[in-house]
Amino acid sequence: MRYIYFLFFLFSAQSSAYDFDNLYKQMNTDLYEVATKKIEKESKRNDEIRAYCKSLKSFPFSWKENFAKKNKINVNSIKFLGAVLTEGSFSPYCTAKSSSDIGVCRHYISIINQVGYISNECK
Amino acid sequence: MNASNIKLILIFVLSIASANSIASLKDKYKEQQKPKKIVIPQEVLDIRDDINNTWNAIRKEGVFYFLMDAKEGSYYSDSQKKTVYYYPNFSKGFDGTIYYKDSLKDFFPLFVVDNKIFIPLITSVGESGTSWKGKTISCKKAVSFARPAPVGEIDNDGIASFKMQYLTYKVIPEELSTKQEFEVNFDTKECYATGKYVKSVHKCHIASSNALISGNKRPSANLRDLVRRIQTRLYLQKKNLETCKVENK
Repeated sequence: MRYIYFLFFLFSAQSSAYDFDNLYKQMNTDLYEVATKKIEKESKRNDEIRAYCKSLKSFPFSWKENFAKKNKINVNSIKFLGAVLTEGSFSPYCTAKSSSDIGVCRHYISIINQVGYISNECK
Repeated sequence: MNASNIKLILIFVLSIASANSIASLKDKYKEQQKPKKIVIPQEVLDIRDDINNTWNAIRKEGVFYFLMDAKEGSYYSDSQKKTVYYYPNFSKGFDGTIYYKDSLKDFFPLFVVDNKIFIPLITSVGESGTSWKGKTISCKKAVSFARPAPVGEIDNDGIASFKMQYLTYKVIPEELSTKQEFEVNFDTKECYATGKYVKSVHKCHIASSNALISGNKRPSANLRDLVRRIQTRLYLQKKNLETCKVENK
């Protein structure tokens, strides 16, 4: 009878033990998947920046209006001088150049939810 | 039907209508006051239970350590009688008020269980989702938990080599870093690390959270608080879970 109790104890102790070996492997797999997903997302975003930068041939009128209002300048003075794509060490970045009554400015371009945004800060 | 009768009927109809409209607004108000029933999908609750049970198992069967930089005289010091790793760091304001500073500046928390080293890693779950044991959980509203990230294993001599980076001000890292190398003997508590900013090898300290708390004569309220904060952040809370869904791969 004691032997049966011992076996029961052994069985219940084993069945309740957490499998840390398996957890270690599963978490490694999860982290690999998370990292792969992150790389894919960044790669997609980088492609979007490259495509947007190459396609930018002029400033949208609404952006010109905002920029003119912010800097209290004539909207007609704003000219598009071109967009420059730079391949940084981590990711590419895009800047657009403008000339206006306040001089020549560089504007950083970002992609949010697949839509390109041109900063109206003058750098 | 004469005019006075029509008037009476109209008054009666109008009074019933207004009484009804008042009752309906009252009902609406009552309805508004009732706490909204939050329904969390069962598969999301299952993942939450699994995450939390995993941490319960790690905490129950493992040891919670702090791995710390060993800057002599600044944050930690060794005495011959007693090893003191942690000093509450105070600063005095102009008005004489004593302020606590986050003393445990260069450190990271880790758990050792079955000779395996796990580091809690804050995982934010957004709409793009994250993996948990082969499933993907995604949430419309921000939710976060700590993933037990495996960083290394302890060999037969009690030594483990792994890469990580000391944290500054944060209690749990958000991503695994390989900026610093560590070699820790968990039997002798010897610890060597490459520097955070310079590559030269120097000594580090490893101590269990219990040893840190009980080994200090000074009441380390902020250390206790730090341990509590870390332990709380491990778990997936119920807040915003109703916006989550689970997909099998």
